[in-house]
Amino acid sequence: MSSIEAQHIDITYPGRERNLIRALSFSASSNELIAVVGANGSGKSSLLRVLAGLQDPNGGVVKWNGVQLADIPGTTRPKLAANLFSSYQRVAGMIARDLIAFGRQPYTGIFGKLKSSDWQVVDQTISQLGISSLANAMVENLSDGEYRKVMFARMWAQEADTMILDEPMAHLDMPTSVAFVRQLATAVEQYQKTVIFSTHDMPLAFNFAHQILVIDGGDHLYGTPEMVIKSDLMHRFLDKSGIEFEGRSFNYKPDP
Amino acid sequence: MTKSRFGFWALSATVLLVLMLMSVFVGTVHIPLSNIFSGNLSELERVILWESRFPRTIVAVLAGAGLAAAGLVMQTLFRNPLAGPSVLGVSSGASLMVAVVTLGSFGLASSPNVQMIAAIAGSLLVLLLILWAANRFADIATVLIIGLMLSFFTSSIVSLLQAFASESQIKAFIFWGFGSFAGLGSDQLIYLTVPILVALLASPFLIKGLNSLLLGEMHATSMGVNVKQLKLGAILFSGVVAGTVTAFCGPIAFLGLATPHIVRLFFKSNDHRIILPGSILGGSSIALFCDLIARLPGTDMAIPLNSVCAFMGAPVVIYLILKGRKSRMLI
Repeated sequence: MSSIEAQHIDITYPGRERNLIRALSFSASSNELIAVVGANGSGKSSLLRVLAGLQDPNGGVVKWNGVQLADIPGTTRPKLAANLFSSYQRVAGMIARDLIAFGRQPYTGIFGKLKSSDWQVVDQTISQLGISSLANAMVENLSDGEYRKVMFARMWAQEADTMILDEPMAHLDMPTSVAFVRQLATAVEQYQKTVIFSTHDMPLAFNFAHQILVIDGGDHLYGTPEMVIKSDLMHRFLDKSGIEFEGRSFNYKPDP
Repeated sequence: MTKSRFGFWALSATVLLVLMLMSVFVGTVHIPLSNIFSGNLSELERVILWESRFPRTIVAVLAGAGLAAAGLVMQTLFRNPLAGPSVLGVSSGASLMVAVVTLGSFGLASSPNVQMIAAIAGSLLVLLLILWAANRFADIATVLIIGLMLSFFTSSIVSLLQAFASESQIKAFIFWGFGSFAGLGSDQLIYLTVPILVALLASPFLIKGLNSLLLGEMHATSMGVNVKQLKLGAILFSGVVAGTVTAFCGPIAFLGLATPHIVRLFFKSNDHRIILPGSILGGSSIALFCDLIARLPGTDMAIPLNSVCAFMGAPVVIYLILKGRKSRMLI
């Protein structure tokens, strides 16, 4: 079981008078897939960094499994929540299996040596995620989509019950994006994980996520896709670009 | 490790052992092996072995090991394949103080002990400055720029001193700049051995953090690494090594920058649990090899160590990079 809770989170960008995010509160727990949507610059990445404990909020508190983040030691955190940010550097000079093994680092001793049980987790991860064909490939030879799968496998190998991903489908083609989100949905439904991801792909978010967190102009709304799609905040967000979101299929068409 | 690299380790250790033996046994004065093993040495042979060849071998092993490991740590810390132990400006600080005592009118011109003390003082000063910068500024690129600018700044002062120095002073300073593993007698070895051994013994504690750092600082933080502590530890390690080596051997170029690349390609890995010990072994071997060439055994001449390092090494690195294009450190 896992949960993640944000209580009255404020986030400000330096130099800006108005808060990027104001008094944001929501909670998510096991078996929930949450999609965070909003315009560029709305604060999605900042929020995810705050939820992942990589950035301090200007106000408010984040709790993991009911415990304030500040009270969770740095060495314990990676065992509770794994994350994947677009700012993670792309590496070279190793095979995919070794990159996935990075996910076991929180469980290793002072020199980072993996035990045989750690390698078992790595190999189980590779087979669970169906990427055996990539395991021995040099990571610099992988396509963007394949590399993303390997990085996801690295997260999976961490065996954390919460996963936070910042725009994991960026630059991926549609079939690969759908496959990726399906994998997130499997993590939630089969393995009872709590997964939060941000995306610009609204149809994908609204079709797969259990809950949507939409952020726009410092305001936010958290609810089911059906509830969020009818909200004033969504209309305000979409009206700017002259597109209409169709409620049943969660697809969109340009205004005539 | 996903595959046994026993063969690589065995080969590396063997090469190092052979080079160490050659460094002790080979030289301008031929000392028969039988004399060495039987202990039947003349006074001259004893002095050559114990005051010259043996200390020189130890210095080459430790300096090579230290510089290579420091170069690796700097390349990972700054995510820059062109980084080496000198990027912190520590060796430049050492060079500046040696220039001050050698080129300035202090009348202490080319005394090696004075040069060593000056170099230690110079490198400590810069190291403290860099540690302050690393503690003050979160962005490691800022520290890199400060280190590089310090190098330029100290070079400018050295040039100024050279412009007003006498011919003999300039010659003494240039001679220091050639680099040499031959500057220490057996009674002085301890001043180099202790700092470098302590640094090398502490270096494995950087391995886990450096591996996490390959995916960036945010990833390392998310994996529970105290990135600030890691940065300070890495800088302290490299600074102590670079400062100590420069103080006792002069500014040794190339080894620290090139050896990690050679090691990565040789072991086909970026895992610091392999390439840190690999660099230590490789650095020692390369330093010994370059020193052997510099001594021009069988002749009465010697050539500058730094010339040999770069002359031999640069083409090797270019060849390896072109050959092993798929095994680069960074995309």
